[in-house]
Amino acid sequence: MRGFLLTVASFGLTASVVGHAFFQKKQFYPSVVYLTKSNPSMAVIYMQAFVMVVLMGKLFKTVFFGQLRAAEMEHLIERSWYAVTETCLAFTVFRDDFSPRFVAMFTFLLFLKCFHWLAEDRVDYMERSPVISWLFHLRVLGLLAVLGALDMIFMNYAYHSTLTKGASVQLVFGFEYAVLFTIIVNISFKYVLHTIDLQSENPWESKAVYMLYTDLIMSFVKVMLYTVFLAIMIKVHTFPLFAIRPMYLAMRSFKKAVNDVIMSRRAIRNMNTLYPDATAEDLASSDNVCIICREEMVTGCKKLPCNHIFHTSCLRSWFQRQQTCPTCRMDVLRTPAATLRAQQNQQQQQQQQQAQMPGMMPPFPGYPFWMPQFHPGAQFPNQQQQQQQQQAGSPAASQQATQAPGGAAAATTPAAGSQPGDASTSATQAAAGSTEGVAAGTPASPITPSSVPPFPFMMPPPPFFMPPFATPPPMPPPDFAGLTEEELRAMEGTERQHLEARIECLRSIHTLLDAAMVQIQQYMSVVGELGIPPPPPATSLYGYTSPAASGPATSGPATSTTLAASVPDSTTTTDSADSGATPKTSPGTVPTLRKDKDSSADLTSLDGAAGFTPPTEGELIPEYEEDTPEEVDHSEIRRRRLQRLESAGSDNQ
Amino acid sequence: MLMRRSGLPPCDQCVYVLICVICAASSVVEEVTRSCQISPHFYTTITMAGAALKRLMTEYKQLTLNPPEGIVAGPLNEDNFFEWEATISGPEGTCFEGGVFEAQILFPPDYPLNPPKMKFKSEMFHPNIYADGRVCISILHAPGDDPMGYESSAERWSPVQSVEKILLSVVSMLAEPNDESGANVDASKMWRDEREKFNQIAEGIVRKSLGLPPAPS
Repeated sequence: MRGFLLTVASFGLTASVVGHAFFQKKQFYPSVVYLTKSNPSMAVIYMQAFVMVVLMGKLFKTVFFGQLRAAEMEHLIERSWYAVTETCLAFTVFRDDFSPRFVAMFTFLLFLKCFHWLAEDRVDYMERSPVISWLFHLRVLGLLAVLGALDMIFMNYAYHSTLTKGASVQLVFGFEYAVLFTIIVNISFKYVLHTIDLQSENPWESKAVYMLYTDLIMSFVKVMLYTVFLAIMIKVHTFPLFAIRPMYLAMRSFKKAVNDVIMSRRAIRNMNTLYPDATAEDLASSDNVCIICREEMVTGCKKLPCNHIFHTSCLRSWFQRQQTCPTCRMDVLRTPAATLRAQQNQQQQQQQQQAQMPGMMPPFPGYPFWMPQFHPGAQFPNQQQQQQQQQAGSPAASQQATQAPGGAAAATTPAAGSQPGDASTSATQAAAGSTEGVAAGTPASPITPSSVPPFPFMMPPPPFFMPPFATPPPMPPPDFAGLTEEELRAMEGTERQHLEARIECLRSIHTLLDAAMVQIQQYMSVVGELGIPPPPPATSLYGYTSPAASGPATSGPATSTTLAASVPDSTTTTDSADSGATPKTSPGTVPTLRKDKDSSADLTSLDGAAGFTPPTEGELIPEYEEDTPEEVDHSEIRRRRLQRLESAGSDNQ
Repeated sequence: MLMRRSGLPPCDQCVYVLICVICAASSVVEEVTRSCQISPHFYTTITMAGAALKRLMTEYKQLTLNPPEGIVAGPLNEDNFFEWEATISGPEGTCFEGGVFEAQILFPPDYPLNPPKMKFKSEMFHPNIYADGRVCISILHAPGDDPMGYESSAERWSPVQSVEKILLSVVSMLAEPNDESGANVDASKMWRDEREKFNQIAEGIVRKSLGLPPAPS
């Protein structure tokens, strides 16, 4: 209403001024001359021109936008203030060129800018409104075309004027219109993307990615434009103070775009590598609604380590912002990273050992058995479960069970076999651990020395790494009533081989230990240089080496389990402490047991003599091939490794 | 001479003609668009767009199907699901009992991923509501920023939250202000030290929200 009154007043004033001039001078030209000579009349006419510009703006607004929404209006006013201030700053730089024409051009630029912002808001609005009319499309297309054409014309004009007349204020206009043109291009891209999205019933999943890249490219172009503009302006005129704020904004948005793209890529990579697709059972067991979009989940879902299931696209856009589970806020990046770190640790250690002692690396058949006493706190449930299944299921184990009833093998196998299949809960794990312990320890009591000879399992644990809580050495079955003559004889016949294998094993252990000591000393010197405070002791390298060393010895019938039971006694102390130090809490991720591949070959070589059937490779090697994320903190790995080794060293000294 | 005086269109005359044309044209266009908006079914296509919009529609549906007690919420205008209005009645047994407070909820374009903003339209005097009506509760804060420096990220926004949960927490915030994170320091101080005075002011606010004159003292 006030605006309307002002407009009417302006028209009235102009009419009276012009009428007055005509009335005084009677003729056209004298009256025009009179008007231009008199300052008050000119002021009135300038006012009128301004009112007219505003009216023009309103007309175009009505044509292209209809009613403005409150948010758009707010946005527009807020931005206009900045634009006006910047224009005033620009006037100070070009005060020599100051003329009505110059002011008119700046005003026009301001109006065009307003229309660009409005167009941006309008196209963003497409995403929010459920009702998009044909009129809307027509308006947006028309607006984009008109604005684009105007930008081009003015850019062209500025370019030619700069070429012919040299650098002037047209330079500023040229750059301003170039920047506006990038905005138009950006808006057009977005419009196209939104339109494609609107055509389909379901949300278009890859739209977000396209938007990200459009933003990235456009903000890069903008930053480049501003940089060039700044350079030219400093060279030709002075420092363009008025361009600082938009330039800063452009750089910030570019940085944000880069960041977004990086986060998005990381999220997508994590999605593809770390998290498994949700199976139909997973979907059936949960309530089947994606918590992010509140839509039903049918296909294309991912399961996080915390067992929460989401749409892949929803999860991706969430991970772009945050690397936590939306439901339970578990840090999804941290957990697998820690596990992988530990895994890397082990692998590196093994590699180092292998590198240092080529040919001296014995197989690792005992390796899986260091698990049972590992840590009842449940570190690698899957692996443990697999071992149990191995023990229970492998033909060797069952055979031994029949051959030596009541023996260690028999004790172990049913114990392991009796575990429920889902040994993944910590309770069952603890139970499993204790059963293994019992299997290892309790058969000792009923044993009589006379029954020892046929069984070559009496290897005492090497004294130098006798753990504090060593259980008595495992004992053979109390009697051989269940065995036939042939079997007993066969056992006696292989005794010598067993002993040889055992001695061989002890030798390898010795060599390994020497090598390990050398390694530890090396590491200690490194640690000493770095000056890292020593962590609490209780870890040892031997956790990895000794089960390995026991490998060749596992040649007698029924010894694989007894040995397995004995070896962990000596070694897993270190391992459990070790596991306590490294947080490997992800149930889904387990270190790779690649080394078992190597060992299985040696196992097969022992096959004939031992009557021990090495588990087939597929059974023995739970393979968890995981892509190592690049973002695993290498320094962190280093630190952990050093800590571990240092503590190992202090253990030994 | 006469020709030269009146025939050639000088710029002023041009300007006046143009103004008249513009005025007429703008009124005509406005009229046309208004008439278009009266019968939208003729030319509109209703499309489902965007995950944010879908989710807001779902939430709106759920809120209307079984609304929580004392809360009414919905979009201001069915064209734009990103601006909601909520009416919250003051919880019973508190100093805000009986009041009916209006609030505005603005959703970001990437809604379930970022929290909405909530602002009371009615005048409020509460330790956790800024003087301009903005609500300060942890559930409305994105996990990244921590304006008060004490919230654990577990209380912050996540897509699990919803409009309903926000409004319920606002109701419980009205019932039990948290004076440790004072958005309105005066209110927090008064709530802690001069509960009587606070209750009086709250009563005045309740009366105001109902359109009643201030209570006679």
